[in-house]
Amino acid sequence: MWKNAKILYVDLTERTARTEELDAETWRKYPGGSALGMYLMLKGMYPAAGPLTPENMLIFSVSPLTGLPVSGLSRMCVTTKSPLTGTAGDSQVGGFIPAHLAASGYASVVITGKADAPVYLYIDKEKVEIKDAGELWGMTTDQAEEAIARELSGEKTESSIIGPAGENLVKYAAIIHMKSRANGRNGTGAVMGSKNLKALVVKRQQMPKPFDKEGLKTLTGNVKERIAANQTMVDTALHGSAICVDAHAAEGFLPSFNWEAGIMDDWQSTAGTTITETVLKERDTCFGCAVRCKGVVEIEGKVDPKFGGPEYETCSTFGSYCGNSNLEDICLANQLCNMYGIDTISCGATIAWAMECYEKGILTANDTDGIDLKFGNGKSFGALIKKIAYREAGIGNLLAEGSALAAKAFGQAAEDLVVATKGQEWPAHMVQFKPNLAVNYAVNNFGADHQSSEHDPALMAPEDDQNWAWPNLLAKFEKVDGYGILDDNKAKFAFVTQKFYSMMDTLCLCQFVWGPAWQLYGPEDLILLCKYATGWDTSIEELQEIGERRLVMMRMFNAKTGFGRKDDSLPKKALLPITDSAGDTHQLTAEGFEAALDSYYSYAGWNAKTGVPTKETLSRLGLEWL
Amino acid sequence: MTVKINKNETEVEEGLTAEQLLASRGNPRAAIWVNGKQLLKAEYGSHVIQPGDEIKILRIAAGG
Repeated sequence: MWKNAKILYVDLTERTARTEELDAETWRKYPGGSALGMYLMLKGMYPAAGPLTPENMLIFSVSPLTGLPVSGLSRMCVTTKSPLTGTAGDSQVGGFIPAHLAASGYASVVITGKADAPVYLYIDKEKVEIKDAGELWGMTTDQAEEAIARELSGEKTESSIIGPAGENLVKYAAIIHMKSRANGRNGTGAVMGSKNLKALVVKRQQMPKPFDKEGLKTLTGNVKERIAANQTMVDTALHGSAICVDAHAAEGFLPSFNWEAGIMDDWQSTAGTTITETVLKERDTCFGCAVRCKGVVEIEGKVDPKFGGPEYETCSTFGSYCGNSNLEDICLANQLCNMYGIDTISCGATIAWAMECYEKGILTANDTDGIDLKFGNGKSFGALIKKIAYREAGIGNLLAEGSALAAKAFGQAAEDLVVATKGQEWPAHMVQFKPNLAVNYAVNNFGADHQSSEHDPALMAPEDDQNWAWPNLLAKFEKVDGYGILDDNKAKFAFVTQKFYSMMDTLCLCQFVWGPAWQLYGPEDLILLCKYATGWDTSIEELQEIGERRLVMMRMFNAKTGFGRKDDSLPKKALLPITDSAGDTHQLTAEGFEAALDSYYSYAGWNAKTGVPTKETLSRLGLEWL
Repeated sequence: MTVKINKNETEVEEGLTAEQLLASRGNPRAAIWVNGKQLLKAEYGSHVIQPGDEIKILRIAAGG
């Protein structure tokens, strides 16, 4: 099934576009997503190039599976050098543009250079145009999307757009699709802004047909029954990812007050079930997906449903992180971040850091433009997010840098309150509860990420449960009884499942639908999907190797600019004791973490002193050229 | 006695606490709702399941 892949190269400086073919053998080794993106970056740019310079590459990629009418297959990856972390950058988005980009015939769209004035890129298969975006510059994402639709009246298109935050180079600016989906993490929107690129616009296309339609039907024809039989999927379909607030809070592991605690009073006000009962208008979907997990909320006169609704991470970062239990404030923050084009995780977490600094007297009203930044003041979000988006002098410009860089201006006491790795703020899963994530957050090549390995509870699942059975298809693990355990077994779990998640970010799969534990479809289903969808006879071993190759390419990209073991670290707050709702205390130790890190490097075939892959590992993966 | 767990009618022992029910299903730390009300983990040991209760058990591993 492997044919040559088509790559579209767009040089904004020269205002030219050309296509190149990637041979089938290479395509199979780097079959899409950020594996293909990293391959193209390593071949095409100097890793030391500044993230916001014309030399940086901004790459939109899909995979051979993208665009098929199957749940969880409409994802598009953006790969670039991140201005937030200074490392390889990576972020995924769902919705409809992934499917239509794939149907346009391109595996990747590679943007280089910088336009001398604002532009947007229009793609209709072979017809590629760099169009003037002077009128669009300065618009919010919804305004720009509507203006593009007016300009291209009569054409049905899908767009990925930056808002003022991307234009103003906010370090964690996002690229927004459908006003409600985001390539959120790693500041990809700032890279787009640095290139004077306002939007990627793709004309809607006829979708490709699967290789074996009847075979595919045997895998996916009973999707509704399959959802009904999986309680996690039932709740994901009913409440979206926000159901995690309920589950984490019940146990006392909802990051609260900038990670000082695992619970806040009145967390129920921000729970997924509460959202469903109060402000949820409807559930939306991505192309071809039966799960329909995307929440759309409405608060009359305040929150517009066109901006979707808050996911779990947003409920947490603008909720418990900030000690805020006002759901309306969370929904409004979500809307403003989507309007201005800002990552809700880094934004909410950076505000939470500022709030703790304010409570402790490290920041004063002089630093906050007079805004009262006490924990719980969700009413501050509106003003703060706008100041950040426009990099207004004072608190806006400060927080637009992200918490790690902002803290440097206020000394060690402020730096000790930062909860980030490689400069990227931590997502809302506590490592005291899920210690494998301590390893994953530390080693992950683009900063802390909760969607880069499976989470620890799978190792505590009953043996007849898919949560136990599926990970054990990848490698044999030891059963774990209780939280807080970080050992060799957990390090192995971190590495093995990280490879699987890395492969999913290569094949552009939704990690709520496809995965190695609790999801709708598991590893064996994925083998069948590849066969029926594309004719690709693959194996778990090949898929795991594809995932590992992506990890090692990112690692090598970073190593070329000095990243290594010293950067695979935990913030101080990760070592705080956390008492759960049953009164049990959980705490990681620095020694235990370092030992687990040694184990991880050993499993990965990386040098334990430097954290860099060995020559043998590069050779095993066909990466000698690095 | 009969209760509904995740919409399925299920026979369980009388006098069972939420903690014992979850342990018997191999999921001692799962989130649990009884008749629409979610229990905190601190309540698991003292909350006794009653005949006819509608129970939802949910184990969220990841996501966001």
